[in-house]
Amino acid sequence: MATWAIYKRELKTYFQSPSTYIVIALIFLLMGMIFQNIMAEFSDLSMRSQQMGMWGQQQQAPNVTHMVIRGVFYVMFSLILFSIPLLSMRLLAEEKSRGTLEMIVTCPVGDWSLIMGKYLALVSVGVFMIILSSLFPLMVWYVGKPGSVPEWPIVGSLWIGLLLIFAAYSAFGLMASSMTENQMAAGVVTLIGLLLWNMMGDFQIEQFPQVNTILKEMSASQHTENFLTGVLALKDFVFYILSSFLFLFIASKTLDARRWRV
Amino acid sequence: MPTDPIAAPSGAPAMIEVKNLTKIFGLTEAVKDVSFSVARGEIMGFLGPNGAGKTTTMRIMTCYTPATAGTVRVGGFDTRRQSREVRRTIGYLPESAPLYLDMEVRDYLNFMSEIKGHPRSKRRTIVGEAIEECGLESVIGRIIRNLSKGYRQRVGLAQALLGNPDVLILDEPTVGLDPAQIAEIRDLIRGMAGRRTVILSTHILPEVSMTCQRVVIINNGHIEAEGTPEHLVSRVGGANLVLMTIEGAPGAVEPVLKAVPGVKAVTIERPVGKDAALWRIEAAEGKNPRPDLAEAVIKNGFRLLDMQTSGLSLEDVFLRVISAQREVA
Repeated sequence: MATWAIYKRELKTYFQSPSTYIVIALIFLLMGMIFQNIMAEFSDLSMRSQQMGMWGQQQQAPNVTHMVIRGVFYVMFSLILFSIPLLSMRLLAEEKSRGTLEMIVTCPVGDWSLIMGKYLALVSVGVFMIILSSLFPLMVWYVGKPGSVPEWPIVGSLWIGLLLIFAAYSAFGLMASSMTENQMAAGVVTLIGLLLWNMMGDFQIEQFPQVNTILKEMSASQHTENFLTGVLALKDFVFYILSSFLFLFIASKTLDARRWRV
Repeated sequence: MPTDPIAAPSGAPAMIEVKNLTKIFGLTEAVKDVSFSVARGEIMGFLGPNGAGKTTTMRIMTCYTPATAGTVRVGGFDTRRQSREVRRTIGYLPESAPLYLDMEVRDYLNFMSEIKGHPRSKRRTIVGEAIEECGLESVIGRIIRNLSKGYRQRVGLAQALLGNPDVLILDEPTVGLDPAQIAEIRDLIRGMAGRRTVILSTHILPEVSMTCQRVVIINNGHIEAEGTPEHLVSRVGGANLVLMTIEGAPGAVEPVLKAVPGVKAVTIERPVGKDAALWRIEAAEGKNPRPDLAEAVIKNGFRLLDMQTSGLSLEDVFLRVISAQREVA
């Protein structure tokens, strides 16, 4: 099947390309630094609360999941935004500029197969990153057992949230890449687009409160908060999945436009 | 399979049928009202200078771009409404063979075969056949980036041949190759006559006369001439061309040459030495004025230094067609 063939080729390209590893390494370097910081603060706090306890003063012990794990993943949620343009920009723009797209689309392949093959490959890179991120909860678990182990359901909700956001951002990046031959342009458009998508809830127009509500509900950042607190709400799933489909649909139509734009 | 193959003028089913094709990019008309057809098993050369509209026409045939007006049918399928079927029928080598440079030859061909939807069980055979036909056995494990231009072109050709398509569309298949490689590719294409329908575009003349059974000359988006290479030569120029190097004042020689019966046109090709010139004499069709020409030159006291006869080459036909068009414009 064509989608499978494209998926395999694209995934291989990702994992053979140094830029993929540089992006992943940078993200995990930053996450590691934050992790180290929060961990130090956390041990400090828990030590102090223990001492307070010995002196008979009751104080709530800090929660490792809320403080450390959520802190680290919060960073990952933000860093994904910057990693997507670097990973997605070449997907179609490069094929366009090198002329290989002409070879592919003149084969009996549907545009949708091509789009999905590339999209799923990029999402797989995201899955790989999410799997790598389990390093942090595992470390917490290893160091903290038996007393302060992570709450795995919350970790699960963070992973699901990351996956959905990565999928939606990837679809946006692929859409931008389908519109130009210039990789840099695709990358910049993706970065700016994703930033705007996250910030659009913050724009306030005083005369139109309804518009504000709509903008807020449509912004990407609005739908990440639930995942960070361990809440899985249907509307967040629907939001990200629908946005992904919308962007992929536009990408496939952009490719197809070549055929009907007379 | 095609249900209603369109009959070509000759009665044989046309594999490719282009009718009143027009393509406009913004303000420029790249292709203007082009019509031709290619019979099954025929090798057709699409000849024209760069920018004549060859690539655009081929891209329309392969469903890469749509036509502004007119229709193209390949194997009986309409490129606009039955794009998938058309693409299943053709093998296409775009200009300068864009390949995935980071892949190995074998992986690349397997990938393209998979993309073209060949079943897994047959893929080995299909890829093996293409490798054999294009002589790629020795480079099968090499990364395409490291291959010479000639081999890359062959990989592109092998890709087009995967699954043995009925129609091959090759855009400038020999451009940028050295003479030995060109000869190899030509042999390969010539060997396909009768088995496959091939359209190849080129701006190199010997290529068409050597590989093609029929030629369409296109210039500025127009079809200027069409036919077999021999037919074109005889139609445009007549086959008789005499080149004579004569010593004598040009003004005196010209009327003498013109007076010889059977001579159609006389021009100076270039001066030779101080007072000699290479004359180019065109004979009327079916006439042989050579003995009379020699005699007339000698009799009038000029010295004949050299005399050659040559048929009007396809190159002459081409240049004549193109330049006539330019004068009109």
